[in-house]
Amino acid sequence: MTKPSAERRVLIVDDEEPARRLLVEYLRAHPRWSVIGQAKNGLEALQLAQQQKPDLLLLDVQMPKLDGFEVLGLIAPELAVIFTTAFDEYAVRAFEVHAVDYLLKPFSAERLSQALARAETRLAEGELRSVAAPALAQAARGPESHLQRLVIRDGAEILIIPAASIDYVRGQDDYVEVFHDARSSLTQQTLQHLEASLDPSQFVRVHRSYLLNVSRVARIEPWGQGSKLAVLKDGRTVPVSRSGEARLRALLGI
Amino acid sequence: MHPLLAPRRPLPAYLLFWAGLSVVPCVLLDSATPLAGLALMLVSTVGFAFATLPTWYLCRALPLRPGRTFRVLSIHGAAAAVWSLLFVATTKLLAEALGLLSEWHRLPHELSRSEGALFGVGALFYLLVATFHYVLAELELRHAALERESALAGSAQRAELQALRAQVHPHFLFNSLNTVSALIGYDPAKAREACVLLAEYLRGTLRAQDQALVPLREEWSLCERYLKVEGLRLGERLRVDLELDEAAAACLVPSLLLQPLVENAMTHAIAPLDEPRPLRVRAQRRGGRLSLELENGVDPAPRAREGGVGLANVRARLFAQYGSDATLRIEKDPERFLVLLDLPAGSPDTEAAP
Repeated sequence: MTKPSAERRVLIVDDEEPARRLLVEYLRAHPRWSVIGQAKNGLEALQLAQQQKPDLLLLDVQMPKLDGFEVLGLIAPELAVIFTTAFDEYAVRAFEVHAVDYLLKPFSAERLSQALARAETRLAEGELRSVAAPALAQAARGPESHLQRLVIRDGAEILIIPAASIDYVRGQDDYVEVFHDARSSLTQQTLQHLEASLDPSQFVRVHRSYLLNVSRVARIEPWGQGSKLAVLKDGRTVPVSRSGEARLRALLGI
Repeated sequence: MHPLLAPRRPLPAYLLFWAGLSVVPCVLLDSATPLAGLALMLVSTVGFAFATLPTWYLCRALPLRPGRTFRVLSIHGAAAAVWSLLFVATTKLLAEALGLLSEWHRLPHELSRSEGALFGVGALFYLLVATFHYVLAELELRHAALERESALAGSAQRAELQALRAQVHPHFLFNSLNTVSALIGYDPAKAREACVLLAEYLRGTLRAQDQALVPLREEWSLCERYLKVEGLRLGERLRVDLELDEAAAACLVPSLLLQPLVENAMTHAIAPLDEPRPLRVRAQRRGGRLSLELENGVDPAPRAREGGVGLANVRARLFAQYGSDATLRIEKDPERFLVLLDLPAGSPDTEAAP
């Protein structure tokens, strides 16, 4: 084990006051780990993480605004994460996003000590989270359900976009541009992955670069050689390829 | 007991049917005094039908099974011969008696002419009786099977209700235990209070599982305990506004009816929200009806689809208890989520609840 050198900075993220106070109490026995902040929801966690640059996140999963996985999806990867939750069903997903440990509430002071030792090893060896965005999004979504909302950082702003508010999505290399609520936002994702995550009865791949919310379609018009154009209810248009048209018609039942 | 002799069974109809059949031997007799012939055959045929009722037991003892045809046929054949002889003999005796009347004095003579034919009729009558009883036995068997089935269905339904009720969520327990563990560090008195509340809540749910119907007051205090435990965990974020009118408190409701709805609100509308709207629960009795209302805020961007398990569960239990006499309605807008329950206001003394 490496000799402890510098102080390690901990950010506690939990929406329950007793849970935060418990962590603070347990951490008193570990003077090297100093609590640099406490967040009571996902957005606060994001802000504090940006300002305070913690080494370790003690992260609850179910929280108001953003949940633990959504927070991780938006945070710079150079930190260690220990999940603390009463739900054991997130464990697999937690390790998919390279969490250091997964503590099931209620846990003992000894159990936290073990987790801290593990975190120390990871930090010392520099083996921190480096997870591709799709895996994170997958983890945020959970195994069976479809993605119900997208969380996107747009400059300083964090957007929570319900799936139903998405009009269409345009893929551009490693990015997708999400058109929603009369604006558009960029996020680092692939169109394939987003297509796989969203509800297939609502979103259809109408073109190599376009994913379309079928409820927005007003009509389909011919457009050039063999291809078509989907006209949306607000007048915007989305190109539709030949195979895309078949998929769209199948979904619309026309 | 013979099925025709059981209360409210159609023995008179059966005998009336046989009275009708007495026309057959009457025609055979072809008496010069038709009224005498009819009287004679009416009495002997109906008497025969009544006397052969014990064939029921013979038919039950001799079920129609493949491979036993010979045995069944020979026994019933013998029985037919005996019964037919008895039929002829009693008819003769009756004819002698009626022949004592001067205008009917030819009856015994007329009868002795058609004795052979009468014997045949008696045998056929017996076979008719036996057939009738076999049909009756089969109907009884089916009826018993149906009853068994519905009894089984009833117990399956009870088991299902049991399963629907037995649902203290482990997450609630784990979260609460974590709160207790934390409170021990900085507020031992509150930790103790939490333990007591939790124990009372758990005991309440266990007791509720043994009872189909409980006074609303009990269900209500169970929910209050649940909310108090959650309040320790969520602090300011949980605001509750409860309103229970006195008349409603005494009404009987299915046990653990309200609790899943309160828990639902907690999971979907209180815990995920930072600035919560209060959870409002109201119970009112209006005449013979009990109305329950739960109102809570809505998560503007839900992460998961609403589970609806709690709601489906409550709906299923209402249906099992009251059929279509109880309703669960949901009103939903971007601001609030409202669950409206309407059920018969049964009370322990009136026993209005079915």
